Amino acid sequence: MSAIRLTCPECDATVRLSRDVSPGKKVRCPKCDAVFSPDNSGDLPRRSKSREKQPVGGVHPALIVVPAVAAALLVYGGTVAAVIIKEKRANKDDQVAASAPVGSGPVLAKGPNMGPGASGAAKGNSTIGLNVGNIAPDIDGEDIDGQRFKLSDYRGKVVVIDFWGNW
Amino acid sequence: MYPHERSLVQRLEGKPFALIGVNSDDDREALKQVLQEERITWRSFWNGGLGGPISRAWRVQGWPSIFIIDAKGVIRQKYEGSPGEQQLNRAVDALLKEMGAN
Repeated sequence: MSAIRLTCPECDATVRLSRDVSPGKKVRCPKCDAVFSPDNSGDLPRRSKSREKQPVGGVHPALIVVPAVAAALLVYGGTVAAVIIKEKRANKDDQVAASAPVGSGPVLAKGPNMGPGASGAAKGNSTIGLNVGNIAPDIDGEDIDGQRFKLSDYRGKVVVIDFWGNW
Repeated sequence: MYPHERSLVQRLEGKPFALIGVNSDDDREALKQVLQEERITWRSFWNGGLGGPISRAWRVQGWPSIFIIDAKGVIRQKYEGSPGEQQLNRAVDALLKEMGAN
């Protein structure tokens, strides 16, 4: 705005100004010479904004403490979770894939993976173990009469091993 | 007793097949008697009771337990408890066919 109109609080005259008047700036009435401020004309003096109560630094203390505590909990919780996850993974890696053979057996070339009507999931590979697909451990022992023999004596044959008892 | 085992052995005589037992009885002498009486002609390892080294090494926890091993020594079937005569016949016959012996 380039021109403003004011009312003189003393004589009620209309005062026209060709310039903006910032609040608080004083103006002289051309008619009665009274000096007044435009934002106070006709009004009781108002309390200045600078007197209103403000917290020191302009920020409520809770706005600092709560986020700080939350951040600390996140860091702590994240650290604990990372340690637990790492331990679980370590445990999984530590599992032994194959059992120790009773006697020594030759290492064989891979056999076919799945037999007909295979029972359960095949977890085998070409390592010695007890799962379908594993190379069976050898057995080196005695028969009932005390004669020594081995499971590997029967390599080249289909063998049914029957763990049994007469009870 | 043990008719299925006996018939399996008889049926596959002359084929590349063997039935091998692992016995977990406690009394070896009494067992020798049983082998004769029951006409148990197939060979068995002596495990020396339920806690013996062979059943431990094979993690056997129930009797009977049966493993079928192919001609290359690979475990092809694994049963806790007998799967029955029909299933055993089927599995063994398939492996024999695989090696061209059936």
